[in-house]
Amino acid sequence: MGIHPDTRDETLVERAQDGDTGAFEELVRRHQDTVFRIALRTLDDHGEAADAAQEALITAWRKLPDLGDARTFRAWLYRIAHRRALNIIRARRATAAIDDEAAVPDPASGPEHQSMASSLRAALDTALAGLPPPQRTCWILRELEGLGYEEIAEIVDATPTAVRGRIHRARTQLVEALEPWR
Amino acid sequence: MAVDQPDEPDRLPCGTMLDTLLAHLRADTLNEHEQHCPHCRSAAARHRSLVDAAAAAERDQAGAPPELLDRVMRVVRAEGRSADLIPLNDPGPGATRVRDTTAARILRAACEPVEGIDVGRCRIADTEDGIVVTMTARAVAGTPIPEATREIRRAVLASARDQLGWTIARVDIEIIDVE
Repeated sequence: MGIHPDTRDETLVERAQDGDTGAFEELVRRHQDTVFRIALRTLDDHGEAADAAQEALITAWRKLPDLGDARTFRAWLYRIAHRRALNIIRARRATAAIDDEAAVPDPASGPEHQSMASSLRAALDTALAGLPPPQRTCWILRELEGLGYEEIAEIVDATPTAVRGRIHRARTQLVEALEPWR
Repeated sequence: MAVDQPDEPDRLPCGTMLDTLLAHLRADTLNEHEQHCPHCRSAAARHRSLVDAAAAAERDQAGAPPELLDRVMRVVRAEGRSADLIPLNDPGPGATRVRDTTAARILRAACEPVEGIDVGRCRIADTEDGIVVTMTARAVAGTPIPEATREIRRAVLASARDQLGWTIARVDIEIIDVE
């Protein structure tokens, strides 16, 4: 009872809603990387992100019968992952004293030790770390995950107009930060 | 042209959307206009480093840990979905029942070879009239739907009979999309 690689997500979602675990497995295969990255970027911790991704995917299986429109599955799933990660951050803040500033990606060593490409990459990471989290999340979903404005709006619980604004501001700031590489 | 365009902060004065320009810049597919228009050229020059950096970042993104899939599926399979049990016409002794979700998988698999149509949901109900199957399906554009659904029915009836020993009272098919 194999699944054709070109079977569309919508069809798999409907089968999974009916209890077809094989169809759900294929959906997990297709989306686990993005789910994991959404958690990783929010939590900046590999182990915590893996746990959050696992919880998000299991939650998706449990709630799947309630999903009305199978075409919105991807955004719906990523939204679960994003919220799960945010909840972990909130719990972390509530329990831990502010003993260390939120870990910021290492700005990395000076350009002289690295190829142009990787130092540009490092500069992007540093610049991204400096963005307000909502802007950073929207920019990443757009530019690194290739999602549309409507989908991003669904995931982060904002209007598409607000998402456009955030991405616009993020771009402006990132372009400025990367000015030395022009 | 309005001074304030809150909905379109990313439209260049020449009318090109920044998004489109950046996508072309990234794919190295700038069109004639974008290559020569001063607005496009200056926006492209301003964004090139960011586009390059994003492309590099995208290339070395982390993937999910290899054990994630197994961990998730172990829980999913253990939980399953609450399922109805439908009796098979088995002379016994003892009763044989099949989960509706399992029977649905068998019937859906039987429909796989039918060209041009994809079965999504498959519900099976044991009614007074007998066993009723309700399916949703998506058709590939251009598929002659009556023929495809006839084949689906034939496949469902045959596999229900051969694999489950059921005589199906009715197969309802809802075409929900054409792609």
